[in-house]
Amino acid sequence: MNEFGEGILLSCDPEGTITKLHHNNISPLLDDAEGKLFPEIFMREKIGGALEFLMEIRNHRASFSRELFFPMKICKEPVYFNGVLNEGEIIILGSRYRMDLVKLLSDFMLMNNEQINTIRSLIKSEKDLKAGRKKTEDLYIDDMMKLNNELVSMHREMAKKNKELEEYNKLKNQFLGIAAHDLRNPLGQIYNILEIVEDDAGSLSQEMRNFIAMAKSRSQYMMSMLNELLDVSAIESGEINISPRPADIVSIVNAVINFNNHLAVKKGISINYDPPAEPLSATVDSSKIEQVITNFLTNAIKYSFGGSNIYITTIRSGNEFILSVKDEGQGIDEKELALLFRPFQKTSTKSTANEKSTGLGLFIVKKIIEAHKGRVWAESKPGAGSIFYFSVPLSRG
Amino acid sequence: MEDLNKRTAQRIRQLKNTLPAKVLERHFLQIPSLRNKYSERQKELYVEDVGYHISYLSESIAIESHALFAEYVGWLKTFFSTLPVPESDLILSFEILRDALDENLDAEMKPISADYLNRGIEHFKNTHPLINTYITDDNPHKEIAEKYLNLLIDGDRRGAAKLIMDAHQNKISVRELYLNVFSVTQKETGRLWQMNKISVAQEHYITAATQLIMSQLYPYLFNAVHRGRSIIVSCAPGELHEIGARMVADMFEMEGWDSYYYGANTPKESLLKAISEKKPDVLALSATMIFNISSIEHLITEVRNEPAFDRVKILVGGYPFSVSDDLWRKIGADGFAGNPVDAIALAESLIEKAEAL
Repeated sequence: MNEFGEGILLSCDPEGTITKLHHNNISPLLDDAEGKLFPEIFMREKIGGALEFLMEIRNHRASFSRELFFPMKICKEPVYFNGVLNEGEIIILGSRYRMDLVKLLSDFMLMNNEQINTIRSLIKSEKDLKAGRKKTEDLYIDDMMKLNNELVSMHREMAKKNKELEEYNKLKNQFLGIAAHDLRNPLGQIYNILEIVEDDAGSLSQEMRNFIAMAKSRSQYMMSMLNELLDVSAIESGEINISPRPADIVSIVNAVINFNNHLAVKKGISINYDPPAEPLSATVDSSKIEQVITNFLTNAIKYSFGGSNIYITTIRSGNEFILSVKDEGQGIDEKELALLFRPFQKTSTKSTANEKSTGLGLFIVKKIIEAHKGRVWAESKPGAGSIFYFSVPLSRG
Repeated sequence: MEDLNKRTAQRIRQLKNTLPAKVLERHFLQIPSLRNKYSERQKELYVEDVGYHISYLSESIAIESHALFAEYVGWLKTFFSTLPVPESDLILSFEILRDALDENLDAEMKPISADYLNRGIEHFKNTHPLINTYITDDNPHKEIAEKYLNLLIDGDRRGAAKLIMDAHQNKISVRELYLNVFSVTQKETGRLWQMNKISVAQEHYITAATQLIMSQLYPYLFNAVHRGRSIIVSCAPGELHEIGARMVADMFEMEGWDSYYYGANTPKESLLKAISEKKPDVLALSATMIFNISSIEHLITEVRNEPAFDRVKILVGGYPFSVSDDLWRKIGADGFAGNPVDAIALAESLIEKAEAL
């Protein structure tokens, strides 16, 4: 027999009891192995290896090239074992020489043993499986690399596009600013001319006088729209500069009321303001805060019915003050409340005397208040009026 | 001569599938004891390795570069220096390959193949394994580079990202991080893999993590004021090693160029379309694997054949070009640069020269 033929072939039940010794030319001392537990036939100190080998077969259906040691009197050299689990039977093949299992098998094949055919096909399929698994793993790694490459490329493109968009936005704001600025001057002149004509309109028919009034009102609207566009372009380009100084909030509110009272009176609306007993001072940009309160108040007038009331409150709350403007107008649908502070958003609520709105006012308000590190919000129910609030820290810190 | 080289290379390539197993068999015949010593896996690896020898040999012959094959052989020497494979086994396998090719090639091709292999064998005998680290003492950010690589070897991507972001917060520029940390740690990773210190999976992990960490710096990258020059950077199709090319694109961006990066998976048609749309001043192409040189050559030919792309300067970069001095010229490029800094200088000078004409 050649060197590859020296080995042992046996079957075990799943518990590891040797049920059949098919072949053994390692040592005659192994001839009575049937009925013993497989680990029992090995050197006592090395029994752990045999147990692990059995466990691996049970758990993974196969184990290959496991080095095990018989007692010295059986065999002085290590023996290499391969085993497979097939239809509830463990088939184990041990060879004196490492790994050349295929050659050993062909030797056994001469004996035309049916277990050999089984073990051969199982080992082959297990090997193919392992080789396949290795190839698949390599493919996975390559694919993951490709995916990661693409991901990073997309990330790069996005960052670049983002930058471009920022540039375009800046350009847009510059354009908006230039356009609004250049339109405002001639529009101011038109308005002034209309005022002169109106002063001297005695000789004109009533219809012509109406036309002039209409042109004046339209110019005024356009002027306010251009002013707001200029505000927006400044805000969007990050150029909203506030110059905070300590200011008396009550005085600011009173000034705004005085300035806009004629609009309210015209519609028969009364503005009520009950200032707090204690002085209320805060570090703010007075002109900007005045702009915000004006916006709240003129909106309230715009959307209120004749004969109704508007209430303004200013209260101190911890380290901030809260201003609110409450009206008894039509109120705003809940769904539309969230859109209020976005640019060019108009709600379905209509002004009560056909006053115009650009849809930019509250957006500007929000930006001014944010620049003061404050918050702005609104509460409203259709038919129950609205309350607009803003809060601003008392001091800059 | 060139034509004969190309034909020889082509013939050798055709033998890639059949010859390696024969080389192994002959090796066993010469040293019978190896037959039992080698496990099945070792036999598979042997056959795979001879396949690589053939690929590198044929590509080196095709582009007439002994230097390229010598570089490969030197690389092998380092690679095997940490494995329990005697050098004599490797030398013998080259000799058997040489003789086997001799039997399979036409008479006029034989001397070419034998010459490349003989010189390769000589180089193998005389060269020394590469043991020096790329993270050198003169690196101003040596400490960060070492820490960064160790974190990634330990699989701590987040820790590595934090290290880089903190360094950037501490006023280390993106450019410095690219040159002194990312670039050197990538090279060091390749060396560690070659020395068998880290696995392929670890190498891929480190590269992938570095790419993601680089992308976290993108918001700072695209801040440079553009100077009206643009570049398209791409890799050879199928190339997995994209990071070098990406770094080149990023460095150009930092220098005020408008850069566009197209990865290895970009179809050739899309790349050509991008060239016609973006009208770049420079097209930079990269290859890491030697077998990808021919696809770069084809791409260059296509760009050159399009009159509308006349103005485009073509730069190449990557491992094979840095080994073989005039390879860039042979495949029709306008120049080669071994690192991003040189690439920017070269691109600027090529454009200035063209503008002066």
